[in-house]
Amino acid sequence: MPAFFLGCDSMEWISITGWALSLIGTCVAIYQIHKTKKISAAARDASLLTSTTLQRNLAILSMSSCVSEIEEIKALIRGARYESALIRVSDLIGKLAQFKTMPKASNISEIPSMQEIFVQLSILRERLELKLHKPNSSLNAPDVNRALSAAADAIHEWIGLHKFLENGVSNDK
Amino acid sequence: MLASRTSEGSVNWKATIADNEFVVLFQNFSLSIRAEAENWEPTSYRLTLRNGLGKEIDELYVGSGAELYETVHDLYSSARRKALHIDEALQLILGELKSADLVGLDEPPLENKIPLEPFDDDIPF
Repeated sequence: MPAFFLGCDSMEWISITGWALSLIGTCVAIYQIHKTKKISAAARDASLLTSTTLQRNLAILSMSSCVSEIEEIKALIRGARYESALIRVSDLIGKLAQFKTMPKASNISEIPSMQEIFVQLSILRERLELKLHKPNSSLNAPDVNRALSAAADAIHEWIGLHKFLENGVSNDK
Repeated sequence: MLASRTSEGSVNWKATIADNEFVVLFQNFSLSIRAEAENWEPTSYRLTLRNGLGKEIDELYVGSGAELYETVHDLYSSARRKALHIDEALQLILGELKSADLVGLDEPPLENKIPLEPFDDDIPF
């Protein structure tokens, strides 16, 4: 044992022990702070991932309902039920406008042909309104349904792109 | 400028759900041209500017006596030709007519046949 320790009295021993213990305590505290920071960052990442996944799933659900509405509009136009079709078209434009203007998470992209869909639906709404006022005005059901089918296809394609989890993301996360 | 670019065939006009209206899409805006003819009156044209959400933001009506009438009439014809791919169709027909083979099919190709049974998917409300 070194000569320094041999010459220490009990008070000095207590002081040395206290110093050693406080050093260990500081190390433990630093370790715990570091661990907590890591856990907090992981929790923040998990929360962000959950929130973006939820937003994406809600967007998919909303777009699926738009496709159903498009199919209903096609059936209504085939059956010459223009007033019901007009209500559905206005509702559909509103839903799509909500989707377009909502702030989106980075994993949600725009529908590429959205602008064309808006134009076609706006023209359809005008034509349906005209049809209600002037029943003799022309509305070509096959042309309308062809354009609506193209819109539904574009939305289906978008749903397909967003339906599956990104690479490296599992359901556990 | 739009009229000259359209007559050159360098504007991507598209068909719409209405057979007398054609549209060209720009960044965040769209411009459509519509021909209107009622009760044997001369055809008039309506140009409509829409925003990215399809909302109409401006409109120009060009009647038969208007100064711009001839220009807009030509614009409509060129836009229609481009949107419906009429020039391509005429080129194909011309190609068939120039060939030595018998011109004209006995019956339409399979994909153009109309189904005999009507669809029965009308919704009950």
